[in-house]
Amino acid sequence: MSEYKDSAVLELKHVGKVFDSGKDTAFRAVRDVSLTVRRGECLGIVGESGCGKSTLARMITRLTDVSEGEILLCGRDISKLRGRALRSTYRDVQMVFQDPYSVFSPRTSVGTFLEDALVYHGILRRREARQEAKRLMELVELPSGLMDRFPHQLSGGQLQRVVIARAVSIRPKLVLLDEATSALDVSVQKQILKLLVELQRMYGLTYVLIGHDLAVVRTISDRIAVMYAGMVVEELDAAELEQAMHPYTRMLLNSVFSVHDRGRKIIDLEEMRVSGGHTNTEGCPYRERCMFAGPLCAERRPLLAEKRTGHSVACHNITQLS
Amino acid sequence: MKPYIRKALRSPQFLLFFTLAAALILIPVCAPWIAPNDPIENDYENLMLLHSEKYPLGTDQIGRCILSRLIWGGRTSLLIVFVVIVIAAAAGIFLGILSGYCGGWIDMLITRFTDIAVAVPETVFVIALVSVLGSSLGHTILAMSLVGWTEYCRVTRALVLSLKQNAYVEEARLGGMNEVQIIFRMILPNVIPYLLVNIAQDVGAKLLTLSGLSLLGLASQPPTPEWGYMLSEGRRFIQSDPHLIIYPGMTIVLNVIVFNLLGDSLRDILDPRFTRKRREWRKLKQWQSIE
Repeated sequence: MSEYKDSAVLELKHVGKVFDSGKDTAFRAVRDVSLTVRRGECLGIVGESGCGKSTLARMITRLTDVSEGEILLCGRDISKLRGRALRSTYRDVQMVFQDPYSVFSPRTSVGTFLEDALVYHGILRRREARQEAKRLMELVELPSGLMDRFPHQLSGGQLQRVVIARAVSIRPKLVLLDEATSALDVSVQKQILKLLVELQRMYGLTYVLIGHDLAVVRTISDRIAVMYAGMVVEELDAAELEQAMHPYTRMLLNSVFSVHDRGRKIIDLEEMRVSGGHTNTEGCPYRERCMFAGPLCAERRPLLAEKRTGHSVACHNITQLS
Repeated sequence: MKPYIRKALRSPQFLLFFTLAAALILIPVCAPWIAPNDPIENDYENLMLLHSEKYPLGTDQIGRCILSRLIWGGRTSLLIVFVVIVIAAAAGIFLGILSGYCGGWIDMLITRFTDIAVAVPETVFVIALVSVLGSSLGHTILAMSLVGWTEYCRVTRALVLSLKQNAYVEEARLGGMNEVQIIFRMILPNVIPYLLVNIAQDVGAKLLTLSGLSLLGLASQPPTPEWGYMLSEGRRFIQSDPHLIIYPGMTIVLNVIVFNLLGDSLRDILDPRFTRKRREWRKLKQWQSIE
């Protein structure tokens, strides 16, 4: 166990995704992302919709092809695998999707859904899988009577528990949570997060938690990577989030709503300028919304550089910021 | 499967149409024991009879018992229709899934091929084929199957195209299924219920096509009883003795309706969401009526 403690479960090396939608209208959804997730750790990835965080998750599970770079899962490059080899990597990496309703085939009962993963991964036979499914239902605190039910008879929170149970059932090395709690009520969201933390402790799981809600992501993450326009603009320990330097992260921090906020003072129009979308030109993608943008920002794309131990920022104006 | 059976037994609509459809199939199957008379025997003393003890539905222009001919005729008509549908649906579903799931050049090839097949008019094609190969039931079945699969292929392809976008297909992939398993476990079970409606309606449509072909003398050979051919023979006497075409006409209509409604109620049962939606819809209607 201890020898794996610091070993990287997931390593992204200059991963990029280009969507070719025509002759010269290539859209770069993700560019040059390098991240490392160590065993037992939870990496949170935050960013607004369309920033490429889901595309990144889909590339790690290879539901989308990887255009550039390498994805190392436990030291093995999975970015070009196909067919049987790819299927076998799904024993090590699982994903929980945003909408639990869409993950179930309407004709598959909850029990069968749980069994299938164990059976098709060749871990257990159908009968044994049935027993294991019962145990899994208990694990996620659902009555085993629900196993014969069909997905439309369960609530979103219950379904998401089932999905998590299935993801965990095959003991993967990495679980990707793609907005896993975004579609749920706030109270249910909290329960699910609690469950995730418990499971992580129990099985020593490694998570990549993707979300747009900084407050949710930071509660269970050890490290946080902030994405903007397909790039990681800042990476730091979750505990040091208050010391974030990048103007975009600062804006995100200021945008987190709290019930304790009152009145309209929280809405600062200057910060709310919305960009004109991704720009394919060189230069910092955030410069149009950034209040510190200078001439250099338009010329050169800032690279992620370590400012302190475990804290990297991609910005030209760091000195000014701190 | 069990919950479906339980649900089926609880649906009065399904039970009714299932019984009717079973009766419509069983009656021709048991023809030798049920039919009051020999369907091809002529009784020259009782031509164009409207009704009698011996002939409940009367006799036709050459003195054959109409009821017996209807009962025996179901054998020919339904047999052809069922064989054609089994062949056409199997081929159509196979090609549709192949086309929709694989995409790319396979999809293009199959789609173009389907377009060509759709462009061929059914009746003309059957006439051409039967005149080349000779008139027989086998050739009619072959010809009808060769043009009948296109609808299944198109519907299946469209369904598969939308179904494979579902997150549960991706989830199945993460769950260790290979493409063939995904097709059989995730795609096919979700395609079939929608197609059941098509299949049931197709029984009606194919019956009508077959009747049309028989009318032209392309399906069954006299004196073999067949509904469409009975219509064709009775057509000449529509002014004086309409019962010659009313009875076979009604039989065809009855079959078409029963199989259509059977398909509808089958879908209600096989789609677990459907009944709930309908229940909610009914509740909504009640609310609206209260207001």
